[in-house]
Amino acid sequence: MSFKRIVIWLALFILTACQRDKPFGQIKIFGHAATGLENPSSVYHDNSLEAIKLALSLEGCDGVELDVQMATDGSVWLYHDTELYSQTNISGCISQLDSIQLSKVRYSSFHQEKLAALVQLDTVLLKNKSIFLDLRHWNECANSMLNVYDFIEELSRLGYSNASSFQTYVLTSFDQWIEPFFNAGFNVCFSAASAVEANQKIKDFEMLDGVVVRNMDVQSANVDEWIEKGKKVYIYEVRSPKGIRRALNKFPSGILTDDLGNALIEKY
Amino acid sequence: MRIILAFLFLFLFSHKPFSQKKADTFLTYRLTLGKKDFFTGLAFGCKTEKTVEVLTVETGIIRSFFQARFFPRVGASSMWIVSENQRLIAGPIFQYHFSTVQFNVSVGKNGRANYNDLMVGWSLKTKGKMYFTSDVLAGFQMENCFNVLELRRKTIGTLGYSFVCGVGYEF
Repeated sequence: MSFKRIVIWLALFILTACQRDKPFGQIKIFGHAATGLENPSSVYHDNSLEAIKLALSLEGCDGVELDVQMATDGSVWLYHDTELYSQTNISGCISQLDSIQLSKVRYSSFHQEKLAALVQLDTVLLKNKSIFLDLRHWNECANSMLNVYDFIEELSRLGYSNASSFQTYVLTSFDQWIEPFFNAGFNVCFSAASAVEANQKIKDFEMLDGVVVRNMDVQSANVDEWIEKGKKVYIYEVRSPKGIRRALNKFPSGILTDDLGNALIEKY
Repeated sequence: MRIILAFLFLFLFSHKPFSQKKADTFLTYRLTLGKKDFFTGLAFGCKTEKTVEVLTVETGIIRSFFQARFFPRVGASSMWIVSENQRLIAGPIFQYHFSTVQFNVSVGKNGRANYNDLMVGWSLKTKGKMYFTSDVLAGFQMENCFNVLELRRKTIGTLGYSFVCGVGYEF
């Protein structure tokens, strides 16, 4: 065999060896806190409008997960932490401030994005996609419980309860909030701290649409079992290529990833 | 892309072949920590009396080797020598890099992201046949992706950084 032929065969082998079959077509990819929480390679700050638009604009991104907190006047704002001083130019909690005060808040990031209110998100951008609203039921600054019906009223007013062009999933880790949201027409997922807790909630609450669990806390056997029961399973804390691959290999309904770029590469 | 290649071509040949002064050429193997990946690759350069010009060809380690998605990067840099002694040369450095990666292969070129980095920083290089080099850079990174909401490619600017270390041989 000539040297030239060997080189051609070798090149063909290398090219075909690089083509991996990726059987993850049914698994949906969602941006955790839009383009990822505390992602150093992210262009925009998590939960900002700019980050949401960027995530939804990417080919292959099926939606976003956002952290929702309620202000004193009943408006809902997108922010992950409890205290504002850790990420923004002011101090205090969202639950202690009103819309006028919160509209002046900016993140201490390179782009200095404004703190986003859910009302500012144009739902047209969500067409054929899904949005996960991770609700904060506890006001840590005042050490008090928020009123579930205030949340339901505001989210319904903004058109998230009966939207037809996109899917809304409400995430909660508080049992008492499951039924009111379900009765108001929302898809409710339980944000579980462990596979044991997720299992228990699926048994206790028939109306749950699904569960959201950490990648490290769930095995593929759990995922198979819950999906067989007709529940959706979403995995979060998925950041590194290895972690994303591990999550995808459990074949959940979707992953909430902190690195959309890596997740898209692993899926496609 | 053609403009970038033309720029690199001019950059490479603008100094050594047409220069009146003697220029030393060298080849460096380098590792770079960038915002989007760790890069590894080769740099070909030449040193004149006042400047060090370098052309680099690299690939992203995580994307290329751990995710089987080729992430090439080409670039050029120019360093002005402001300090030189028997063991070290040092000075400010200006660097341009172009890199590209296909995030989503199912949608053709719409799944491709391109990055243009323009950075400035400080460079250190030891002297001798075998040498070490190290650069610290920061600047702008322009990320260009297809936007499915607006059905066109859009460019977003952000802050970028680069830490480089390399080992090389001077011819």
